[in-house]
Amino acid sequence: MKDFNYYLEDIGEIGFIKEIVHSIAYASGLPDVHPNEVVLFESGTVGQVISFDMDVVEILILTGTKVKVGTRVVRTGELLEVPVGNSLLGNMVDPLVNPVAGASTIKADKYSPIDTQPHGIVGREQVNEPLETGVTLIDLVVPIAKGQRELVIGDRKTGKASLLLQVMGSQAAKGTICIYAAIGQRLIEINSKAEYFKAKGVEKNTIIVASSASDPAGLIFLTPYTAMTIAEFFRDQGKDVLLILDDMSTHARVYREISLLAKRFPGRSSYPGDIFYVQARLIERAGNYKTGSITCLPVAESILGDLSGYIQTNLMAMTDGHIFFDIDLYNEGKRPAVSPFLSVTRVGHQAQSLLLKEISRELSSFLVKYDRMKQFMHFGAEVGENVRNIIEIGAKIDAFFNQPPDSSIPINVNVLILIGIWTGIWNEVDTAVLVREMNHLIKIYSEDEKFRKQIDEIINSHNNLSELINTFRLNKEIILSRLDRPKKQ
Amino acid sequence: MEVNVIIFYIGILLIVALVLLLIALVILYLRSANNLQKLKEEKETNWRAQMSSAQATVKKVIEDAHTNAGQIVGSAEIFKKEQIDKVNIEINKAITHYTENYNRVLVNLQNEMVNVLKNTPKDIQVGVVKQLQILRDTLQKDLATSRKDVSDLIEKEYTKMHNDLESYKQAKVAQLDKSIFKIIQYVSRRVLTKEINAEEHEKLVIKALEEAKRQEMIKTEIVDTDSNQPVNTKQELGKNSQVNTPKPQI
Amino acid sequence: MQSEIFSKIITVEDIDKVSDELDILLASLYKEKGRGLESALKYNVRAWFSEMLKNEITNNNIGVEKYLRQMKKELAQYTEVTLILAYEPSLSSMERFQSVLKSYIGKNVALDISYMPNLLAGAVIIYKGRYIDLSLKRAFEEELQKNREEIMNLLVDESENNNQKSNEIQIT
Repeated sequence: MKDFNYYLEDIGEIGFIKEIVHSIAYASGLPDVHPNEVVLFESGTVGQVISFDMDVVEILILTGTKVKVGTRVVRTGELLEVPVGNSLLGNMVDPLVNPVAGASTIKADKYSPIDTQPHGIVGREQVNEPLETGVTLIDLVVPIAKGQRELVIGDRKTGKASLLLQVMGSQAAKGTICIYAAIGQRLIEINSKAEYFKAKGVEKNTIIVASSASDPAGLIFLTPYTAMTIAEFFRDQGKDVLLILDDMSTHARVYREISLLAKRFPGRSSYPGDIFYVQARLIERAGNYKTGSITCLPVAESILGDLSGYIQTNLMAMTDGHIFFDIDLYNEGKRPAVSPFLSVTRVGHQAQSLLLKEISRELSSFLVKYDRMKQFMHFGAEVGENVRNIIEIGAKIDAFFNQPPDSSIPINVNVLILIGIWTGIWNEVDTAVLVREMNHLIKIYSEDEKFRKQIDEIINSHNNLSELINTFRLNKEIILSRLDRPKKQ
Repeated sequence: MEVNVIIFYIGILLIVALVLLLIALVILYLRSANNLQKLKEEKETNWRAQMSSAQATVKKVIEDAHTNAGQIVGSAEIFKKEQIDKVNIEINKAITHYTENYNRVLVNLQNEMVNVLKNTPKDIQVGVVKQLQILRDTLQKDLATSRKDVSDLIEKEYTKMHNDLESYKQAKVAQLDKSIFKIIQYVSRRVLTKEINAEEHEKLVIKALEEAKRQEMIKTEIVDTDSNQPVNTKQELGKNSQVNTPKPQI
Repeated sequence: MQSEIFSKIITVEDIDKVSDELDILLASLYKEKGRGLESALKYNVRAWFSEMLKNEITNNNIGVEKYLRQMKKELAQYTEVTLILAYEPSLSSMERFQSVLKSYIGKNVALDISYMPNLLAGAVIIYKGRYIDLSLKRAFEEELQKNREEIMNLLVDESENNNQKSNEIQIT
């Protein structure tokens, strides 16, 4: 961006600030201004035009420097563009793509506008490739595919951020470009995320677009748009991108603040009438394309598990499913505290293989049965052997789903362990032993190439769950031989 | 018939013989039994006697052994004492022997060292001279190379400094030029401002207003006579005011 | 509406002052049992304004309040033009500028005049958000830059001549 005098000479229009209301400035003049045009104040502050009438232009202040009444302002004739390029990888930037303290300088390959129209139907492709998150519960019950938009919703402090970091770490290690948009978060939380990626050794495949809670509202509002613009740049290079927007409830609140300051008429819960449009046109830019894919995981916060809030339902309507974090499950000690009954994936299953689809279906129906049996048990009634079996297997599956936040489990190991539980390999053992042996199997799978190849071959060669179960039932030693159990005399 | 009588008499003979044999056997048996009994008694008495004699002997042996052991121990102590004394004597002997040897050796060594020391100067001298020669040669070589290096370095540094000075000079000259130019600007401005009088200023301002009118920056406003409000005329877009809404690339 | 008072209005400050005075008069109309206007004209407004207003109110038969409100309406019709000048103009100069602008725009014009000496001459004009720099400063700087080398060469020649002269003086 050039300086104030350049634009003054070049465009020949000037405005004067008449009124300032927090992050919105009202200016006179600028007769040919356009909506969303970038304007430059004499003090160097950058703003964006949000609306105008015959007398006054409404400008959203984007940078933090103070602006006074009477300050001159000029049009730049440009829409808001950000520099994008491969040098962004491994860096933390603000929504105007200025490096945040400690980051290296950004060399732009090109400048892309932040706010574009989402793609039409032409150029998009059907979602057909699974996205392996490394989280057992997600991969088996609520699978995600590349190009899907999946909302992550739950109360505060239910482990949403842990799950997202786990997914990011797992995908970044596989070479996916991961972009984390921290929208109005505390600086200490943003730094801890950067440290996490460094510790995992995946920072060269990650980008953090961060705005802190102390930044101007206009800047916080732009954060997810900048992140999406950067994602589109890498998508156009043919790469798969994972984009996390944490969180869209804060984004909606900030937009509400801007709208109310701009004296827009408040709608439901004082949100402006176009809140759905503002967020939908952002999320619609994600998807599966011919060149690459953008998998978007927007985050929303619910209050006391209420999924029927305004922003929550809006976001559920514009995404392809949601992963719900239940506070009750969290309090019971389940990690991740994802409710398999209230979570939905609309397009995740179509990217799965036939075997995984069947496993998912069977597992879901089993979980429903198990839940019913548990409720039945509350009444203290005597139960038959069938019910006892279901409860035992269910308890083992619960232990199987519990996963520490820094671990990433490949899908085939999950299938292997699940088949093992189903075929009764862990029938005679208690939960602690089951967990120990599971971790042992996971370790062997990752370290022993021969074992890994064997398991992968067996699983990939089966399209049918019952056939796979039979295979393992007849060849239990494939698993048992690796478990290091004491031999029975 | 004679045969039968013979056989009969043979038979009677045999029977008589057998009976006699039998009687003899019985007598033998009885005798042997008696003997056995006697033997047993003898044996028993013998055994008892033997036992008692054995006991006595064992006792004796033990006593003897005891006394012997006592003697041995005593002698052993004596022996020990004797041995210690002997060992001490031997040690002392050995000590004196070795010290003598050591002293001898030291003396020998000393003598040898003296000899060596006497001889080393000569050897050293020779060696040192050799080494000095080698050192001198290498030093000379090093000196030559270092002289060359130093001169190269000096030359390099000199050229670098020269270049730096040149560029510094140029920068300074440019700065000076800039400053001079600024001064000229300032002075000319001051002079101009003073030189232009109020009338000329006024004329220039009116010219500026005319130029603005010519460039259509100042236009006649059409006012609606009924409402006395300006009519909203569609304004022409400024030269750089076109802003395109970006469309996605497929 | 024809009024002598408007002939005194040249700048934006004049408009603000007159507008404030009209507000004071309008506010005083129904105070002090109808004598508020008289008292305000005597004590709260400028003398010449008060005189002129009294004359005009007596000459027009439309009533005081209506007259004052019409005047306010007229004042709102003024167009503002910002002129940044290199000198402080006299009253007559400002009147000239106003009349020129009025002839161009076709409406009453109020000038917002600022003083910036580094413009040298000419003016920077801001009208309805449009900006144009027609000062001598720009033209002067452009010319200086164009002829910079020539000027520097002149300087060098001058200094050489001076050196020669000083040397000659020294020799003699």
